[in-house]
Amino acid sequence: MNPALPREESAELAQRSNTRDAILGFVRSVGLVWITTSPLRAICDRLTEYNSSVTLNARIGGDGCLPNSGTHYAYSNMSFAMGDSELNLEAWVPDAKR
Amino acid sequence: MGTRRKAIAATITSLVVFGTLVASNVALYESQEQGVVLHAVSDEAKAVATEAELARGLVALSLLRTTQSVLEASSHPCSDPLGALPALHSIVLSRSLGGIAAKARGGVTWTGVQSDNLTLLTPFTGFVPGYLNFALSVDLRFSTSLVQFHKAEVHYLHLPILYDESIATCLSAVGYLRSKVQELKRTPGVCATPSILGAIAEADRHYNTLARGAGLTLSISSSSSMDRGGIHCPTISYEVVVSQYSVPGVSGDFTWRVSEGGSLLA
Repeated sequence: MNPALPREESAELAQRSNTRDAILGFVRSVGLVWITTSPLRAICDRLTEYNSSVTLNARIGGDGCLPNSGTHYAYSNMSFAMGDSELNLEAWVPDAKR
Repeated sequence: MGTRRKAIAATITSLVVFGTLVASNVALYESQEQGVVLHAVSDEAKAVATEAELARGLVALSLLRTTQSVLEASSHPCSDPLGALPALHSIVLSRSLGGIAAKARGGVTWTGVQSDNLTLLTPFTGFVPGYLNFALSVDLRFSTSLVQFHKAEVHYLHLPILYDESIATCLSAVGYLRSKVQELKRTPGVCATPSILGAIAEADRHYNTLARGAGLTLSISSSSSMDRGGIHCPTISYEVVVSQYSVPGVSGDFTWRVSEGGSLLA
């Protein structure tokens, strides 16, 4: 057994895969151009309309669609350059007990 | 004696049972360990596939953004709009996302395929005849002890600039104007200024209508200069400008403009 391997439970790995897929699914649905040229408010509105089993959030610096509430179970994050700032798309499993 | 044999048999049986339990526990432990490894490999492979798709899209977006910023910065000569922009023939970009190294080389192309699977960049994907098109070679690499990933792809992208139409309209207007001026019947000792200005105005009206039908705006401006002390006829300078306003680009709307100028001796 390689000691460097992740020791996570397979359930969490599967959930994290879901959160990554949710982010990619959202980006696919709106397109990279739209997401990197739209204001945070518009992205938040589209995230609200986007039907997903995981919680999705967009954040630019300290501003986000959802309040910052600590650590999350099966958390995934992808960032996109938007001019001088960076947009972070985050996803996690809602109401999961760690 | 019988009791002793039974005790020995019971001891052997319990040793066998205990040994089997230990062996099966070890096997179970090892299979669980292997399961963790397989899940980790599978998870990393999935993550790489997801991030590769995004990396490919982001590097393609960078190419279009770079190109748009160059194109919207100035007006370009109708006779060779991209001649003054050699950078657009070979743009090299690199990007990193989630440990994936994406390197791209791209430039303007005159041939390509209309359908492209780079859907993240819709509606800028694929080769569209008449538009300004780009070919992009992307090389994606990821390497850890668990997962090795390498992909090389070619994609076609475009900016919805009416490239062919704008150049054709511009060159046609310039050609029309020059031929009209050449056809003028000149009277010796008399300047043809009014006739030349009339030809310019006529070309402006005619080609403005044509351009509008194609989604473009054309204007011909002129100015005359008496730089020979007023003794000789003036030189009339003209400039044909073809513009495409509000081109929907990757960094917002922009204006594409080509122009060609010249001078005519009245």
